[in-house]
Amino acid sequence: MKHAPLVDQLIHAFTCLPGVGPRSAQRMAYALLDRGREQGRRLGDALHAAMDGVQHCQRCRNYAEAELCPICESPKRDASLICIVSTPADVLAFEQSGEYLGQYFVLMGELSPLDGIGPRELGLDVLEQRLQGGEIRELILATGTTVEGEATAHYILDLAQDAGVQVTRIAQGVPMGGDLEFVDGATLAQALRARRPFES
Amino acid sequence: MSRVEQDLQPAWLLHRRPFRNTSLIVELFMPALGRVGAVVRGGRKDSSLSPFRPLLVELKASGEMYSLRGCEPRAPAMHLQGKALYCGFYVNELLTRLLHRDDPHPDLWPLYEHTLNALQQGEMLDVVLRQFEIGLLEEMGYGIDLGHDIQGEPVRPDGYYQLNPEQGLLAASQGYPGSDLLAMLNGDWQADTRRTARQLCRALLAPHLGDRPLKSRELFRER
Repeated sequence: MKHAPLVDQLIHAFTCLPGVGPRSAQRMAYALLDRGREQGRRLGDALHAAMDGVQHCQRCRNYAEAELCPICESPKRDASLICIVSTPADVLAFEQSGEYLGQYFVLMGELSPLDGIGPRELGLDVLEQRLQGGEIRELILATGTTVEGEATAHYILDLAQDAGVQVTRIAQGVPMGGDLEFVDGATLAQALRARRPFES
Repeated sequence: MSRVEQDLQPAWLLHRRPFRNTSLIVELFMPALGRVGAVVRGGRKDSSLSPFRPLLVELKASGEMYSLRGCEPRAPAMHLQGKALYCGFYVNELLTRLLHRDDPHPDLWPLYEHTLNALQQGEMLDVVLRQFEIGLLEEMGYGIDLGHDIQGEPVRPDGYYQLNPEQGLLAASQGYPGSDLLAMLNGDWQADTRRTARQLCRALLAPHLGDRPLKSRELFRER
C-alpha cells in the first residue's frame, strides 16, 4: 500500500467527483492534509449537512432544504406562470437574467428512453397533477434543443393541452451581440422561421 | 479522392451518452457493420452527432470498441416531431436492444431509412412501426408466415389463430382473426387490422426483449 489507509480512502473518495482522476484526487487530498485541515473539516461538515439536508422541492423538484424551495415559497413569485427547465443550473441562468418572476418546474433530465428515462423519472406525473389542479395559467417550455429536449417539450405540450393550459416556448435564434457569420445554419433557419414584425 | 473521403462511411446515430468529461460513447448503425459502439473523444460539444441525422463517419478499430475519427453530416437532419419523434426513439431502442454489436445487417439499412422517411411524412405512424418490426424480425430470422399456419394450411379469413413465436400460427377457436392476418399480408391497414397487428408484433418481439420492457413505449400516453 502506497498510503496510509485513511489517506487512501480520502483519495479514493475524491475520485467520485466529475473530472477528478486519481492524480487530481491525490493532489486534493494532500492539499487538505498538508495545510488545509480546517478547510477540510469545513468541507466534510458541509458535505455531511448537504447530503442529509438537501431534498427535492415538492412543487418544482429543484433542490430544497424544506418541503418547498425558496422560489416556490416566495409570495413575490407568480405561481400561475411555470417555466419548465431540465436542470437546476437552468434555473440559475434564468434567475441571473433578472427578467422572470414566475416559478419553475425542474425535470432533472430530459426524456431519453434509451437511457431508461421516461415520463415518470422526470416527475411528469407530478406536473400533470399540478396542471389538472387548475392553478397554472401559462407553461413556458425551456428544455434543450436536442432531440431529447424536443421529445420532452412535446410530451409536456400534450399534458398541458389536455388540461387546457396555455403553452409557450422560449424563442430560439441569434444570440445578443452575435455575428450572423458565426451562427450555425440550423439556428439561423429557426431564427428566420420565427421572425417577428419589427416595430418601434 | 483523398484517403479521408474513402474512409467516410454512411451511418445513423442510434444513441449517445456522455463518457468521461468531454467525450461520448455512441451507438451507430451502419450498412456494412451493423450496430457498432464508438468512442468520440471531445465529442460532447458536437451537435451534429445527433439521432435522426444522416452522417458520414470515419472509424478506427481500437479494442472492443471503435473510435470515431471524423464525422460530417450527409444530409439535413430528419424533421421528426411529437409522436413521430417518439416513434423514432422506439425504432432506435428496438435496434439497440435486438441487434448484436458488429453483426452486419445490410438489408436493414434501407428499411431503417425508409422507416425514418415514413415517420417524417407523419401518416399512419403505427403502420410504419409494424412494417419496421416485421422487417426487423424477418432480418433476424424470426419472421413468421402470415399466410399459412404451422401445418402449412393457408390462413382462412373466417378462422382464428394463436401464436407460437418460435414456430408460427396455430389454428384455434379464438385469438388473432384470420381476416386481419391476411389484411396485414396484403397491406390493407384498417383499424381492426392495426389493432391485431400491434398485439401480434408485441407477442413476436416479447421473447427477444426479455423481462425489461421497451422504455419508449411509455412515451405513448393512453387516453
